[in-house]
Amino acid sequence: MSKKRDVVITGLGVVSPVGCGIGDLISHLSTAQSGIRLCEAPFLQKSFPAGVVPRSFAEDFTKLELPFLDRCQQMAIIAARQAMADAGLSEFSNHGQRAGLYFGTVRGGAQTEQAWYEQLLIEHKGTSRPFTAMAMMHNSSAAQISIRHQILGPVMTLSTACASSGTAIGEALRAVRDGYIDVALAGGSEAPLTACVFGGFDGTRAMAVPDASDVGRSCRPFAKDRAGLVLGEGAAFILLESAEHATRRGAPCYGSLAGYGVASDGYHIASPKAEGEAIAMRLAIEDAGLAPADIDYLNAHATATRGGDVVEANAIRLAFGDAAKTVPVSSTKSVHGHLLGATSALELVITILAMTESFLPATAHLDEIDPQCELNHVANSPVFDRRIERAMSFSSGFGGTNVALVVSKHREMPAKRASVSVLCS
Amino acid sequence: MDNAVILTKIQASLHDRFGLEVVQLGENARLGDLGVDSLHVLEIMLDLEAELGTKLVDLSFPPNPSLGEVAAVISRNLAGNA
Repeated sequence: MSKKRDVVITGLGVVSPVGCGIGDLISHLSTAQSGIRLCEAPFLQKSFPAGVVPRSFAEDFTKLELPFLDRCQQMAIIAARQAMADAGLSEFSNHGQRAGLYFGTVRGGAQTEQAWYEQLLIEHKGTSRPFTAMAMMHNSSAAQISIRHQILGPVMTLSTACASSGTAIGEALRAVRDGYIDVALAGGSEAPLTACVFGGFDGTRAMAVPDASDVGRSCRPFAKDRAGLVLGEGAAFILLESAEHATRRGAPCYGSLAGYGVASDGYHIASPKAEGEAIAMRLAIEDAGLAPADIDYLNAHATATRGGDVVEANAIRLAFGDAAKTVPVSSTKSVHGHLLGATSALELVITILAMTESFLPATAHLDEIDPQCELNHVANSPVFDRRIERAMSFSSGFGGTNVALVVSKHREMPAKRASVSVLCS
Repeated sequence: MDNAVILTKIQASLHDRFGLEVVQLGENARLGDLGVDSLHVLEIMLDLEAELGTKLVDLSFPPNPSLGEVAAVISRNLAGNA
């Protein structure tokens, strides 16, 4: 596969259970501090552990804007704005159709949708409020960002379950690399902490119950005593541009987005398959022009389900061969939960920070590793002062879409370190 | 119900629902200048329908109407429904 252009990462933005703003995120990751807490779900007679963003965003928007904006879109707008500000950009009208936005979500405006169901089914309203349709739509986040920042080229929303924002970022990479556009904002957002989504996922019997001793320990990927997935909310974006575009405007970069692999299982709507996952990983490594042994860190998908983590461990062994024994692996879902459509983007941001800040983020609460998940785990505590030249983030979605993204340090361009002063606004 | 009463209700709704300052909401203030779009207006119409127990059928406003023009359209609707 011929590569047309080098694509670099010049901006990061995040709103997550483990940090709102990049500095906050680094601080949480450096201590493996959990952002998982107990979350009530009105209408359901139970509470769930969940990765919660512990703040309202009502003050960040006017009362004229708010009715149009589900929490999903509020977090997306803020994380995207952070990424643009970090890259030194704010609007793209002078790019015409050569600026794009690639966005991933699973549930879109889930809170707005549930509010409408309440009106329909409990209050017996025959018509929604005027803003409901706009706030429910899956593409509303992308549209709201494009309107605010005049992104006038492709504004695309992808929904590939838990790989959504990973495929969005991968497709953005291809669009820039292949020369269709010069700059792209890419990421995802999800606000699923509603009774509808909690109850829907609970039906799969894949959800963790709150840990009896400490709810923050409820998500335990790869652990022998893992008990299921923990939902989370948040948004994450990266700013991608061709290296020549970044160089022309004197922008430093965190590194290259060097490889993208996407492969589908063609197997089962809910059960993953190791072969499909492994192919996505291999494709990303090949796309980056690397060998498995070149990967210095792998941020795994591992959601802490009984079956999924074993399949993924097998996939890593298949994809990496002998290098599976040495590549450090962690699942940071242990501290932020599973952000569904936003999880790939958040985990890629974490992977980028691991590379630029030279540390290996940990899988928290990994006291006893499941022998079936045996890998070179970064267990419980992060490892600091670890040189990382190239790293991978992997995600896998219900329905069988698998996506892997490889980042690498850039040899020629000025290296950028994360700004700890990027605030959550 | 005359235009002035309806205008007062619209002003109150714009203030309460959307946080606009009352001093901005003169009869000649235009929706576009206030940042109010057609869906905001529709929300206010729904409030009025609920309050007045009626259905507003003809919502054909002139382009970028003033608050006074919005009040006049509603007033015509109410007269038609009477």
